[in-house]
Amino acid sequence: MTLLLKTARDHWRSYLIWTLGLLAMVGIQLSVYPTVRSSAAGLASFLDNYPEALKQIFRMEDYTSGAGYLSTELFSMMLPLIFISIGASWGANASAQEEERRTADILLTLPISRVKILGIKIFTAILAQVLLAMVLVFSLVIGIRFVDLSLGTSKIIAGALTGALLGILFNSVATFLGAAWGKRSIAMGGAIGLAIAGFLFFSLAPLVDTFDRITPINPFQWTLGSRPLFDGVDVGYTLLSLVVALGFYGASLFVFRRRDIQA
Amino acid sequence: MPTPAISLRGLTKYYGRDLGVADVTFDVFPGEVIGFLGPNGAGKTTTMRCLVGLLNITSGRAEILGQEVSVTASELRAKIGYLPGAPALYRNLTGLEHLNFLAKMRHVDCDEQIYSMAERFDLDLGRRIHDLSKGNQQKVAVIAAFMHKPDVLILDEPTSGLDPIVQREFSAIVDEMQTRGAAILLSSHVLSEVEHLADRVVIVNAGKQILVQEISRLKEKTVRTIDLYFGSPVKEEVFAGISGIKDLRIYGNRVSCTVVGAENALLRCAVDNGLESVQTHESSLDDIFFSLVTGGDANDLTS
Repeated sequence: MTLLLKTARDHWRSYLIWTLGLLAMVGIQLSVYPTVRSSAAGLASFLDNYPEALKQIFRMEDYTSGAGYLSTELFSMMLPLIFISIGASWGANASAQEEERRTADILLTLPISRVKILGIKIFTAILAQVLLAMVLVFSLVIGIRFVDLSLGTSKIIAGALTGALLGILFNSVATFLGAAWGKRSIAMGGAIGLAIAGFLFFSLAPLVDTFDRITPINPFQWTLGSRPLFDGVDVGYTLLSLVVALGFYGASLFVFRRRDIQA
Repeated sequence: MPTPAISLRGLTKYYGRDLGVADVTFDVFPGEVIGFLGPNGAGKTTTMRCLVGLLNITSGRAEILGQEVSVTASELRAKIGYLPGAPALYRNLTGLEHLNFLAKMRHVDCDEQIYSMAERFDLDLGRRIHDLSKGNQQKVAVIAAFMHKPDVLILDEPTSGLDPIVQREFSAIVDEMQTRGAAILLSSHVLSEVEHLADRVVIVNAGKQILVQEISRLKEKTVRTIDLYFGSPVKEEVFAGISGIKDLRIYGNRVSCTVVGAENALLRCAVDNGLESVQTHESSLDDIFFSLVTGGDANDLTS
């Protein structure tokens, strides 16, 4: 509990800022929705004239419906960005930042196993993602009532879950890279780089046939690609995401357990 | 012979192909302070980091309190106090928060020790660590190493950044821990401090151990310069046949020479020839250290 609270304390400022950012984004997008709905006919014909490629890249589907609007404006990019940023940052800090700041020298010479220390940090990061997803769910469940946006709570939960899954996935990647190399830049850069590449492949996949081969192994396909606000939770993809994250976490614990900690 | 609290047998550490330290072998017994000396890059910190489980040992064996040291032997670390060579502190916490965090992680109530040492060091525990001077940060790190009253202390450059008054208090605390029976391995570049605190020294250079010796014996075996003052001029032949004398020079009433080992024979001879006064220039540990790491023969000192 001591290390969990310490880890939470280390991150609380940036976490609060991200959470407030998320709430602001939800508030702004919801406040615009009544205008979108009232101009539904005009917007629909306007969007019909959008290039098909652009609509596919931004997954613009039934834009004037509640699910379509939130999917396009929040869940296609901005919310995943927040979840991934928090995940990658916490993952890079888990062990690599302790090494770079030399605090690993005192933390890892305490009578606690390295597996337990990193395990607690991983648990705290997952908890942070779950809490953020809950904030998102509550803000949307309450917010949509004010703007008369029709969307079931189960769909909102499914959407928030995909965000949290993406955060957890890229947290696991950053945690692994940090545990293996002890460098925050490698952990953060590697995780964010993979996220950008994954998002680009996911966005461009409908336009480029050769990307089809990558789609089945793309985390964005497992999450955003499952259309959570329309179809709810995709159990298969959710399990696949969790298994991959658990694989990276397991690998992190394995390499960190015995690695030399450089001075 | 008591069981050693720290036991190293052929401890060797390579970083890839680069040698960190090779074939280090020595013991530290309960209630003993060992001074661990060597220039930068000699392998002191590598040896210490192997002992506290931050580095894997490439070959050889290290035991603390009879248990084999390894990066996974976490329970053993409850009995070890470690002070890293470079500051390792949570800079966003106050000194008290930092120490309380470590105490809670150890599941030990260290309040009494924390407040008592802070008072002795004249340290304000309420200030954030990033606002503290280097010396005050080092005080926090020292308290962190000592606060749980460990049986084994591994201290890497412990007085770095401490002013002379605090250094004296630190020495007193080391003495108290030694009296309690703690085994202490202490590296330092302040050689006079090691001379004062340690019972024995281990000297390493370029990754190799070159000497393990009691300080008292080391100094006995070392070269001293002696100036003898007589009432009247003396002749060189007077000192012929006295063993251990080198570089004999006569300047009228004054005779200057270097002596290895006991100087009893020389002094008896000098008294018989009208000695009025004696001046001895003892080699300090610094002289020995520099002599050894710049190519002196350790066998001369251990024989």
